[in-house]
Amino acid sequence: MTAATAGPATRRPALNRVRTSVPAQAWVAIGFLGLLVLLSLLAPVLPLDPDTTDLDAMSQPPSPEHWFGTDQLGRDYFARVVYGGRISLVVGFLAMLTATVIGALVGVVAGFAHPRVDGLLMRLVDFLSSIPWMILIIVVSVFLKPGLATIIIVIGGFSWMATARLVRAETLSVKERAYVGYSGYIGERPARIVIRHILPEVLPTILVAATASVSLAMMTEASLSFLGVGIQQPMASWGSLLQTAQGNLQQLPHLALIPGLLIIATVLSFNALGNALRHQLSREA
Amino acid sequence: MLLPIVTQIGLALPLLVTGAIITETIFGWPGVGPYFLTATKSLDYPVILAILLLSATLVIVGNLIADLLYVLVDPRVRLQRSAA
Amino acid sequence: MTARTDELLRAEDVSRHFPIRGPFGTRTGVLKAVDRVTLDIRRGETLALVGESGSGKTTLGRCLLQMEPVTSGRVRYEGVDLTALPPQRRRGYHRSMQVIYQDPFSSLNPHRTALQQVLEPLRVLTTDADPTGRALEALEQVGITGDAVHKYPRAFSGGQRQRIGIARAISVRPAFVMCDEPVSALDVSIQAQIVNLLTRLQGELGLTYLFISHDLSVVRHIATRVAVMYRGRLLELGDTEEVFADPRHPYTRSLLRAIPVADPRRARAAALRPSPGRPEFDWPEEPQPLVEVSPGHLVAT
Repeated sequence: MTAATAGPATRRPALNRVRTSVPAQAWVAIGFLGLLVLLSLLAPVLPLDPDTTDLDAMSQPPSPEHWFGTDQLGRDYFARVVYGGRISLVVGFLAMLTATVIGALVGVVAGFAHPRVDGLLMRLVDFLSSIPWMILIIVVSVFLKPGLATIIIVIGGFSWMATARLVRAETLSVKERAYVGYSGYIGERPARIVIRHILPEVLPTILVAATASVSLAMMTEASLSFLGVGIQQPMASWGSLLQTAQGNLQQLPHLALIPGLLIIATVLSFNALGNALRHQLSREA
Repeated sequence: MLLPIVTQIGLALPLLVTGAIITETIFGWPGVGPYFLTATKSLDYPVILAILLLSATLVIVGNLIADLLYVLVDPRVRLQRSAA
Repeated sequence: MTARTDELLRAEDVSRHFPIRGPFGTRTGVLKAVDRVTLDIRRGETLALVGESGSGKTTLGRCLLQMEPVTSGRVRYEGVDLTALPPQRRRGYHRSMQVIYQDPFSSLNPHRTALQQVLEPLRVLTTDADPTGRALEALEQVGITGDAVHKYPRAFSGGQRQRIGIARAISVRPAFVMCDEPVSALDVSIQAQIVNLLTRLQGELGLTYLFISHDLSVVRHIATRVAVMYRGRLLELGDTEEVFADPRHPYTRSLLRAIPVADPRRARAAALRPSPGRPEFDWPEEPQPLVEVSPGHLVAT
């Protein structure tokens, strides 16, 4: 009896300490992301014009008329950044969705089904994971038709493995619980068992993996667009903005700094969100 | 404790090629990275194949080195076989 | 042993072996979780299966219910050989054989209400016109009424969760219920309540119990007959009072004197190897058939 009461008592203080510091970060993150999403959604109705070139106002630093200045062709940079953000967020989100759906499906099936199926699926995951991923993505995106859909599919299709591993581990542990065994005993259909009993427990893990996925997807998209194999002109994303900003880094640092800092801030926000989720969930457990 | 470090060492080898792509592009260094990029954009198949082969080899060699280092680092890895 | 007419469930020479695998997946040995056990369970009785952690009692119970496949031997329910049936036909018997689990926290789905959990076997195993009515009835029989049925497991105490588990088991009106250490995880005061509930339900619904436990004081209270297991083998079997008054096997005697070990892992590990502190008794290579030392009282040699 003494062992049982000593455990939780010594654990609790640490949990309390962490809980007070995380929510602050999380709220800042949520606020920032909310602002981004709002701007992205409202972009079409706002008076922003990312495409009109104005050769009289080329390469201006930030000013009251052009909040972020102008780029080398005189286009309003604030507008370009907002529209670029739209693309970056959309790609990040949809790629995350693809990766999460595939990863969750593979993970649950591998965890729940026959060990042979599990073995096979895990070999597949190992195989895909061992290929140097950057190289693979570059090659595939060049060979497929360049475009928004291609990039989403390529990023999503090569980043689901981590989610799958996490989900599988969680599924394996939930599968051992008495109530899951009971459902199997009385003859419930496997699909029903998965949906009713396993999925609710696994969902938090999936959500946390999803936030990490978005960060990864956005970074990957930025890298690809920066290298020129991602988003092509006339569409812009933060990554491709970085690429065009390369040429004048010394004279026009704001062209690179702004999208760069935004990428960092967004990724950090998603990470903070993921952390907060994880703390919240481990508290409830 | 050394085991994760060894794992990372093994994974670091292929990074010599893949990690360099962005860095070399930014700094304009004429390395394998930009070479690979220009090859893919111009669909220069022999070069693409060569670099893919190179990176695949690095992955395998890296993992092999990591496995060999495991044996040196963790005596239990060897002992399991004889205890069976 | 000839079959009696009031026999409900019977294990015939049942064994359950687990292969021990080496680092390369090769079989390097075998763990005999259940080692050639033969016993019968009679209609209306409460047979207690006692032993320390790792003795194989839970595994035997699971084999009886066909939750696990037997490595050898047969399991008969009302004379029908369940081990020979294809899974489809075997499912039909699962309505008559239900189970109550030990851990009130992992035996219920935290995302479903009490009512939904009790409804589950009704929905899957029966074609009742009014499953909800029967579920509510079962919950009422265990003392959970009104709005409480729509609450989630986290709103209930350990004892109440165990009641929900009991309601789930009896809702389909089984004939046989395997109780796998149903009170081991509860406070002593709650244990008495649950044991009394089980006894009352047995009377009201004509149930037969297999009561698996390592707690001999509870067993003495509820069981009509006792079976003692150790390291997968059945060592002694007989009426409760007789076994308690006149234990014939040295292990049974030591069990009745023993102090329980708190850490189940340690207990399990100790149970799997003969330890110097244990009273000496014969451990033949193969278990021999039990000898009847007095009417209804069997002991391993």
